[in-house]
Amino acid sequence: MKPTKPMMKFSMEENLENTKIVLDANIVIAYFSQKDPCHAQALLCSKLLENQLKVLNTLIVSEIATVLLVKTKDKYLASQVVDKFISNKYSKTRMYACDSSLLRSTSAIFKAFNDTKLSFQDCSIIALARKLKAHTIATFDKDLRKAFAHEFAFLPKSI
Amino acid sequence: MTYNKSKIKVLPIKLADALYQDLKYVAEKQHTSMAEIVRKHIEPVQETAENLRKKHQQKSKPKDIFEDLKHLIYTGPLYEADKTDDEILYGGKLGEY
Repeated sequence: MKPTKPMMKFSMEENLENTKIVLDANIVIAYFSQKDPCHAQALLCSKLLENQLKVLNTLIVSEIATVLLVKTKDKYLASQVVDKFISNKYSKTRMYACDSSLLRSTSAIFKAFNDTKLSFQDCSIIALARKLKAHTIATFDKDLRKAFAHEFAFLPKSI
Repeated sequence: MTYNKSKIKVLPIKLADALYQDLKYVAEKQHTSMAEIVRKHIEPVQETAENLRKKHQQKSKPKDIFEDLKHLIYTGPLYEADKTDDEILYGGKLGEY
Protein backbone atom coordinates (compact mmCIF):
# COMPACT_ATOMS: atom_id res chain seq x y z
CA MET A 1 0.00 0.00 0.00
CA LYS A 2 1.29 3.42 -0.89
CA PRO A 3 1.81 5.84 1.98
CA THR A 4 -0.62 8.73 1.88
CA LYS A 5 1.35 10.92 4.24
CA PRO A 6 5.00 11.81 4.57
CA MET A 7 7.00 9.91 7.11
CA MET A 8 6.34 11.41 10.52
CA LYS A 9 8.57 9.95 13.18
CA PHE A 10 9.70 11.73 16.23
CA SER A 11 10.73 11.26 19.79
CA MET A 12 7.49 10.69 21.65
CA GLU A 13 8.56 12.19 24.93
CA GLU A 14 9.66 15.43 23.35
CA ASN A 15 6.97 16.15 20.81
CA LEU A 16 3.68 14.95 22.18
CA GLU A 17 2.38 18.40 23.07
CA ASN A 18 -1.13 18.91 21.67
CA THR A 19 -0.94 15.73 19.62
CA LYS A 20 -3.89 13.57 18.68
CA ILE A 21 -3.23 9.95 19.55
CA VAL A 22 -5.41 7.21 18.13
CA LEU A 23 -5.92 4.41 20.65
CA ASP A 24 -6.06 0.73 19.84
CA ALA A 25 -8.16 -1.55 22.04
CA ASN A 26 -5.16 -3.53 23.31
CA ILE A 27 -3.75 -0.50 25.14
CA VAL A 28 -7.01 0.01 27.03
CA ILE A 29 -7.48 -3.71 27.69
CA ALA A 30 -3.93 -4.07 29.03
CA TYR A 31 -4.35 -0.96 31.18
CA PHE A 32 -7.44 -2.33 32.90
CA SER A 33 -6.06 -5.85 33.39
CA GLN A 34 -3.30 -5.86 35.97
CA LYS A 35 -2.21 -9.39 35.06
CA ASP A 36 -1.95 -8.65 31.35
CA PRO A 37 1.68 -9.06 30.20
CA CYS A 38 1.49 -5.56 28.66
CA HIS A 39 -0.04 -3.90 31.73
CA ALA A 40 3.15 -2.12 32.87
CA GLN A 41 3.69 -0.76 29.37
CA ALA A 42 0.06 0.32 29.18
CA LEU A 43 0.45 2.22 32.46
CA LEU A 44 3.54 3.93 31.13
CA CYS A 45 1.76 4.73 27.90
CA SER A 46 -1.21 6.19 29.77
CA LYS A 47 1.17 8.51 31.60
CA LEU A 48 2.73 9.63 28.33
CA LEU A 49 -0.73 10.29 26.93
CA GLU A 50 -2.02 12.11 29.99
CA ASN A 51 -2.15 15.53 28.36
CA GLN A 52 -2.76 14.41 24.79
CA LEU A 53 -6.05 14.18 22.99
CA LYS A 54 -6.87 10.48 22.87
CA VAL A 55 -9.21 9.45 20.07
CA LEU A 56 -10.86 6.16 19.27
CA ASN A 57 -13.75 4.86 17.22
CA THR A 58 -16.82 2.86 18.07
CA LEU A 59 -15.47 -0.38 16.56
CA ILE A 60 -12.54 -0.21 18.96
CA VAL A 61 -14.82 0.43 21.91
CA SER A 62 -16.87 -2.64 21.06
CA GLU A 63 -13.62 -4.65 20.95
CA ILE A 64 -12.63 -3.26 24.36
CA ALA A 65 -16.00 -4.25 25.85
CA THR A 66 -15.96 -7.79 24.49
CA VAL A 67 -12.35 -8.65 25.27
CA LEU A 68 -12.46 -7.09 28.76
CA LEU A 69 -15.60 -9.08 29.51
CA VAL A 70 -14.10 -12.37 28.28
CA LYS A 71 -10.79 -11.81 30.09
CA THR A 72 -12.16 -10.59 33.41
CA LYS A 73 -15.72 -11.97 33.46
CA ASP A 74 -16.46 -8.64 35.11
CA LYS A 75 -19.46 -7.09 33.39
CA TYR A 76 -19.38 -4.06 35.67
CA LEU A 77 -15.79 -3.25 34.72
CA ALA A 78 -16.39 -3.74 31.00
CA SER A 79 -19.52 -1.61 30.98
CA GLN A 80 -18.04 1.10 33.18
CA VAL A 81 -15.00 1.45 30.95
CA VAL A 82 -17.12 1.61 27.82
CA ASP A 83 -19.63 4.01 29.37
CA LYS A 84 -16.84 6.38 30.36
CA PHE A 85 -15.25 6.27 26.92
CA ILE A 86 -18.53 7.12 25.23
CA SER A 87 -19.60 9.67 27.87
CA ASN A 88 -17.83 12.69 26.37
CA LYS A 89 -16.98 13.52 29.99
CA TYR A 90 -13.26 13.88 29.43
CA SER A 91 -11.73 16.92 27.85
CA LYS A 92 -8.83 14.86 26.46
CA THR A 93 -10.77 11.90 25.06
CA ARG A 94 -12.87 11.88 21.89
CA MET A 95 -15.00 9.13 20.51
CA TYR A 96 -15.75 8.96 16.79
CA ALA A 97 -18.70 7.07 15.43
CA CYS A 98 -17.84 4.64 12.69
CA ASP A 99 -20.12 6.33 10.19
CA SER A 100 -20.46 5.38 6.54
CA SER A 101 -17.56 7.60 5.50
CA LEU A 102 -15.18 6.08 8.04
CA LEU A 103 -16.42 2.59 7.17
CA ARG A 104 -15.74 3.24 3.48
CA SER A 105 -12.20 4.39 4.23
CA THR A 106 -11.72 1.41 6.53
CA SER A 107 -12.98 -0.95 3.87
CA ALA A 108 -10.65 0.58 1.28
CA ILE A 109 -7.64 0.03 3.56
CA PHE A 110 -8.83 -3.49 4.40
CA LYS A 111 -9.13 -4.28 0.69
CA ALA A 112 -5.86 -2.70 -0.36
CA PHE A 113 -3.69 -4.31 2.26
CA ASN A 114 -2.23 -7.54 0.95
CA ASP A 115 -1.91 -9.24 4.27
CA THR A 116 -4.37 -11.31 6.24
CA LYS A 117 -2.96 -10.25 9.58
CA LEU A 118 -4.85 -7.01 9.86
CA SER A 119 -8.43 -7.09 11.10
CA PHE A 120 -11.15 -4.72 9.98
CA GLN A 121 -10.85 -3.01 13.36
CA ASP A 122 -7.13 -2.49 12.81
CA CYS A 123 -7.91 -0.83 9.50
CA SER A 124 -10.48 1.41 11.19
CA ILE A 125 -7.70 2.75 13.41
CA ILE A 126 -5.69 3.72 10.35
CA ALA A 127 -8.76 5.23 8.68
CA LEU A 128 -9.47 7.34 11.76
CA ALA A 129 -5.84 8.45 12.06
CA ARG A 130 -5.85 9.54 8.42
CA LYS A 131 -9.19 11.29 8.77
CA LEU A 132 -8.03 13.28 11.80
CA LYS A 133 -4.53 13.81 10.41
CA ALA A 134 -3.18 12.18 13.55
CA HIS A 135 0.41 11.03 13.26
CA THR A 136 0.59 8.77 16.27
CA ILE A 137 -1.14 5.51 17.13
CA ALA A 138 -0.94 3.78 20.51
CA THR A 139 -0.99 0.01 20.01
CA PHE A 140 0.79 -3.18 20.98
CA ASP A 141 -0.11 -4.79 17.68
CA LYS A 142 3.20 -5.65 16.00
CA ASP A 143 1.64 -6.28 12.60
CA LEU A 144 -0.13 -2.94 12.60
CA ARG A 145 3.05 -1.15 13.65
CA LYS A 146 5.08 -2.93 11.00
CA ALA A 147 2.57 -2.39 8.23
CA PHE A 148 2.27 1.35 8.80
CA ALA A 149 5.70 2.20 10.16
CA HIS A 150 6.30 4.36 7.09
CA GLU A 151 3.27 6.49 7.82
CA PHE A 152 2.77 6.76 11.57
CA ALA A 153 4.69 6.97 14.79
CA PHE A 154 3.69 4.39 17.37
CA LEU A 155 3.43 4.26 21.12
CA PRO A 156 4.91 2.72 23.18
CA LYS A 157 8.12 3.37 21.32
CA SER A 158 9.26 -0.21 21.65
CA ILE A 159 7.36 -3.34 22.59
CA MET B 1 -34.54 40.37 23.04
CA THR B 2 -38.15 40.48 24.21
CA TYR B 3 -38.96 41.52 27.72
CA ASN B 4 -41.87 39.38 28.85
CA LYS B 5 -43.33 41.01 31.96
CA SER B 6 -43.54 37.70 33.81
CA LYS B 7 -39.86 37.04 33.24
CA ILE B 8 -38.15 40.30 34.08
CA LYS B 9 -35.87 41.25 36.92
CA VAL B 10 -35.50 44.82 38.04
CA LEU B 11 -31.95 45.89 38.63
CA PRO B 12 -31.53 48.84 40.98
CA ILE B 13 -28.52 50.73 39.75
CA LYS B 14 -26.78 53.71 41.36
CA LEU B 15 -25.61 56.37 38.94
CA ALA B 16 -23.71 59.57 39.54
CA ASP B 17 -26.03 62.54 39.24
CA ALA B 18 -24.24 63.86 36.15
CA LEU B 19 -24.43 60.52 34.41
CA TYR B 20 -28.11 60.20 35.28
CA GLN B 21 -28.78 63.65 33.85
CA ASP B 22 -26.86 62.79 30.68
CA LEU B 23 -28.75 59.51 30.30
CA LYS B 24 -32.06 61.32 30.74
CA TYR B 25 -31.03 63.98 28.21
CA VAL B 26 -29.98 61.41 25.59
CA ALA B 27 -33.16 59.39 26.13
CA GLU B 28 -35.30 62.48 25.64
CA LYS B 29 -33.44 63.56 22.53
CA GLN B 30 -33.53 60.10 21.00
CA HIS B 31 -37.17 59.49 21.93
CA THR B 32 -36.44 56.40 23.86
CA SER B 33 -36.32 55.38 27.49
CA MET B 34 -33.32 55.40 29.81
CA ALA B 35 -33.91 51.69 30.46
CA GLU B 36 -33.75 50.95 26.72
CA ILE B 37 -30.37 52.66 26.42
CA VAL B 38 -28.98 50.75 29.38
CA ARG B 39 -30.38 47.45 28.05
CA LYS B 40 -28.79 48.00 24.63
CA HIS B 41 -25.44 48.49 26.29
CA ILE B 42 -25.56 45.43 28.52
CA GLU B 43 -27.12 42.88 26.16
CA PRO B 44 -23.73 41.82 24.68
CA VAL B 45 -22.95 40.42 28.13
CA GLN B 46 -25.05 37.39 27.13
CA GLU B 47 -22.42 36.34 24.63
CA THR B 48 -19.66 36.81 27.17
CA ALA B 49 -21.61 34.78 29.71
CA GLU B 50 -22.13 31.98 27.20
CA ASN B 51 -18.40 31.87 26.40
CA LEU B 52 -17.50 31.86 30.09
CA ARG B 53 -19.97 29.02 30.75
CA LYS B 54 -18.46 26.96 27.92
CA LYS B 55 -14.97 27.59 29.27
CA HIS B 56 -16.02 26.61 32.76
CA GLN B 57 -17.69 23.40 31.53
CA GLN B 58 -14.55 22.48 29.63
CA LYS B 59 -12.37 23.16 32.66
CA SER B 60 -14.57 21.18 35.02
CA LYS B 61 -14.30 18.07 32.84
CA PRO B 62 -11.68 15.65 34.11
CA LYS B 63 -8.82 15.59 31.62
CA ASP B 64 -7.48 12.09 31.66
CA ILE B 65 -9.72 9.05 31.40
CA PHE B 66 -7.01 6.60 32.47
CA GLU B 67 -6.18 8.50 35.64
CA ASP B 68 -9.87 8.91 36.45
CA LEU B 69 -10.61 5.21 36.02
CA LYS B 70 -7.52 3.69 37.58
CA HIS B 71 -9.61 2.46 40.52
CA LEU B 72 -11.33 0.12 38.05
CA ILE B 73 -8.15 -1.77 37.15
CA TYR B 74 -8.96 -5.46 37.45
CA THR B 75 -6.52 -7.31 39.69
CA GLY B 76 -8.03 -10.79 39.61
CA PRO B 77 -7.02 -13.74 37.45
CA LEU B 78 -7.39 -13.34 33.71
CA TYR B 79 -9.53 -15.81 31.82
CA GLU B 80 -8.40 -16.95 28.38
CA ALA B 81 -5.03 -15.47 29.34
CA ASP B 82 -3.22 -17.62 26.78
CA LYS B 83 -5.26 -16.17 23.95
CA THR B 84 -4.66 -12.94 22.07
CA ASP B 85 -7.45 -10.41 21.71
CA ASP B 86 -7.89 -11.54 18.10
CA GLU B 87 -8.29 -15.14 19.20
CA ILE B 88 -10.89 -14.10 21.74
CA LEU B 89 -12.77 -12.05 19.16
CA TYR B 90 -12.44 -14.17 16.08
CA GLY B 91 -11.38 -17.55 17.38
CA GLY B 92 -8.20 -17.37 15.30
CA LYS B 93 -4.95 -15.50 15.42
CA LEU B 94 -4.63 -12.74 12.88
CA GLY B 95 -1.42 -11.17 14.09
CA GLU B 96 0.64 -11.01 17.22
CA TYR B 97 1.67 -8.66 19.96
